[in-house]
Order: sequence, then structure tokens, then C-alpha cells
Amino acid sequence: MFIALIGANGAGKSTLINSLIGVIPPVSGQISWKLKTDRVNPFNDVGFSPQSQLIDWYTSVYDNVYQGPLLAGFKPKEAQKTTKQALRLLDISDLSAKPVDHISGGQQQRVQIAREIAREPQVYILDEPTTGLDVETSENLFTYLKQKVDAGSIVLTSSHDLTLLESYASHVLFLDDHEQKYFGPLTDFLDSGTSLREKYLNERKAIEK
Amino acid sequence: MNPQHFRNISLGLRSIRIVANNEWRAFVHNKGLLLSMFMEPLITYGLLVMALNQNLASVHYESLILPYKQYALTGVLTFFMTTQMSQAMYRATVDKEYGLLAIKFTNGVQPWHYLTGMSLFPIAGLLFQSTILIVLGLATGGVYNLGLLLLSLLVLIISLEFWSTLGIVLSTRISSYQQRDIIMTLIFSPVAYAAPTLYVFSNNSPLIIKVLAYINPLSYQLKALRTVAFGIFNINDLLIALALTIIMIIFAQIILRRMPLSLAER
Repeated sequence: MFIALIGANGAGKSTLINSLIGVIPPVSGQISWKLKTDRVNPFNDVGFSPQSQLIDWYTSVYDNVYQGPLLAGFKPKEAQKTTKQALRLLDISDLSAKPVDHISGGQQQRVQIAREIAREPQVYILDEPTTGLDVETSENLFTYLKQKVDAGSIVLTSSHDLTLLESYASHVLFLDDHEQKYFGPLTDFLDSGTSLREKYLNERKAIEK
Repeated sequence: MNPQHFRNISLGLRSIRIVANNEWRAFVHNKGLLLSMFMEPLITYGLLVMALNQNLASVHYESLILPYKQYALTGVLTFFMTTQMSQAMYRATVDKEYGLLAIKFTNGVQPWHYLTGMSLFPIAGLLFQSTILIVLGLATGGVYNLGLLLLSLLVLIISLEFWSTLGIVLSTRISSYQQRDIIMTLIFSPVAYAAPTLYVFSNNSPLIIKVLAYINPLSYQLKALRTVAFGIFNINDLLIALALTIIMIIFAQIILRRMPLSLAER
């Protein structure tokens, strides 16, 4: 599944994502993970990038990315290999040695995504991963994620770039005012002839009325 | 499985190496910090202690009569300990404020793994500064006995664990850089100066100084350090310093285990 998490600002997308990984407790109900994994801790098999900056400002681009696979339980050599691959994918190999506070906001976002890619997880939970990324890098990232979904991974990603989401997502989770308005296949969500963007705006207008 | 239980599944002892490895990289990357650490022994010992040594010929300590500079050199070593506590606080604040602590814990890094790994940064800083100080001491006759002084570095590292752990615990309660700076100012000066670091407290000292020195952990850590550095080897002094560190680590473990996790907001 490639799930597009959509909703207006304050709809609860980040709250849901942070609850899914256990950083904040759900207000009601409960969340349960059933993930078959060989890794020590189920979260080791999750690639999580929050909307906030998850960066160690004291270290370099490489070191920031390298922490991801190490914390996923990879051995150092394996972690070095996946770190280099992720740096190449996000086109930041030439920035490897730079301190993270010497690069642009968009490049810092790439570092953050690269760290999760380098973990080679089964589940990707990405909150606004394309913020600050240029069109080409966003396309490359989503193409990579789609390949992973085709190979059996699950992707849950929020983004305000609905055109990009429509090109790659198989499912939609639509939230409004902390409530699920729709969850299901993208094709069922869309009316014939409308784009995800049009459908979303129509839904929002209907809710506001 | 409830995702809030992820943090309870230990990644194992390798997580100490992961955290320590990152701290080492952070340490060597920070050239400006290394320069300021380099300057501290030069200023504190090279200028202050050597100047005071002109006026204070000798010091009575336990049953020994020591040249002032030899006595004060051990006090300067403990100054570095409180300096390194501030580094532990800086590092832990970055971890907490940017959500790295939450991610480390959720991945299975246990509180004591975290505390042990995070101590590498202050230990590296302490050894770096101690090396410079010892070289200065050897050049100026400020070392009582090199072998004993090197052995006393073990006591210093154990005592540093107390301060760096305290720094990490305080960081978990701090919500802004301003708060952190205020706490650091409020702790460091009283701790460093309300203990017999560069001087000996006598029975004639003001009551307030006696009380502050009595409740100051640094007083006991200084005794433990000096009992080794001057070849006295009072086991009680060593046990008290060790107990202080163990109590602080247990306290920190409890705090960190219960601490709610958080991510930074963009």
C-alpha cells in the first residue's frame, strides 16, 4: 500500500503519525502494530521522518544519515553501504563531509529522508517529506518509494502536493478535524474525471458548509 | 503491539557503541570547542594557579605539606569536570529539542545505554584538557607524582559520570536554551568555588562556606581524587565518590524511563 495522508492544516495528520510511532499516546482508542520482522525492535523496521527537523547539529551530513541504519540494528559495514546508497539517491553524496548547519533547508530535508531510506525499512512513515525539496528530487523520492511498495513495503505519507500524491498513491486516508473522512483505494475516492486536488477541495468545501 | 512499548524493547549493548560513536564524531567535528577546551587549562593553571603560587608557598593537606601548585593542579582537574557537564547538557539538549532522544529510545536504546554512550563526549573532553594540564604541570613542577596522578584520572572519570548524568537529567527538564544557560550559571560557579578546589577550608572559614562545602558533591569527589593523587588511598573517600555516581545514575535511569517522548515542532 502507498497511502496518501491528506487533510487541512490542523486536521490531525501529524498527531496521527506521532501516535502511530508511540511518541504521543492516542486520546482515545488504541493503536496496535502487527509487523513481522527479523529486527530486534519493530520500530527498527520503520523509516520515520517527522515534519519537524530531526537533525544532530553537531555532526556532518554523513554522520546524520549513518545513525539511521545503525539505530535500525545494522552492522557498521552494512550501515556504511546503505548510507552511501541513500546519499546517492537523494543526490547529496558531495555534501557528505559538510556540517549539517552549513547546508540549505532543502538539503537538510534530504539528509533527514536519506537517514530513513538507509534503514531499508518495511514501513515508511513520512510526514511532509517533500517540504523544501525540488520537483526532481520529490519525483525521484516517490519513484523510489513506489518501487519499495511494489516489493512489499508500506508507505504512509502526508503531503500538500496532491498532484504528486495522486501519481503514486494507491490509497487515501483523508482526515478532517481529527476524524477519518475516508480511507480506501484512491480510485474509489476520486469521482470520474476529477483529480485528487479537485476532489479534496470539493470535500473541504462540503465540510465547511 | 502498542507502539508506546517500542522503547521497552532493548536494542542491546550495541546501542552504547552507537550512541558513543555519534558522540565521538560530534566531539571531533567541533573544532571551536576543542580550541576553547585547550585554552581553559592554560588560563586556569598557567595564569591563575601559577600567579597564586607566587604568594602561597605551601599547603597543609591531610598529613602532607605540598607546594601550592601541586595541590591546586588537582583542583583544576575538577574544574574541567563541571565544564564537561555543560557539554553533556548541550548535547542532551540538542537530542531532546530535536527529537533525537525520542527516536533513539523508540529504536530500543535503553536509558543506561544512552547515559553511558553520551558520557563519551565529556570523557573525551576531560581527557583532552587533563592531558594539556598534566603537560603544563610537568613543565612547571606542579605534578606530585605522575603515576598517581594518572591513576587519579580514573576517580575523575567516575566523578565526571555524576556530573554528566546530572547534566543530562537537567536537560530533560529544560524547555529552552535560556533556561539551560541560567541553570548552568546557577550551578557551575557555586559548585566550583564552594569546594576546596584551589584553596583549603579551615575551621575558621565562614559558616556559610562550611555548609555549602558540606552539601557540595564536589568536596567529596576532590577528597577521593586527592587521596589517590597524593598516595593517601583512603578507601572511604573513594567509596563515597563511587556511591555518589551510582546514586545519580540510578536516579537518572528512573527519570529517563518515565520521561514522555517528544519531537520538535517545525
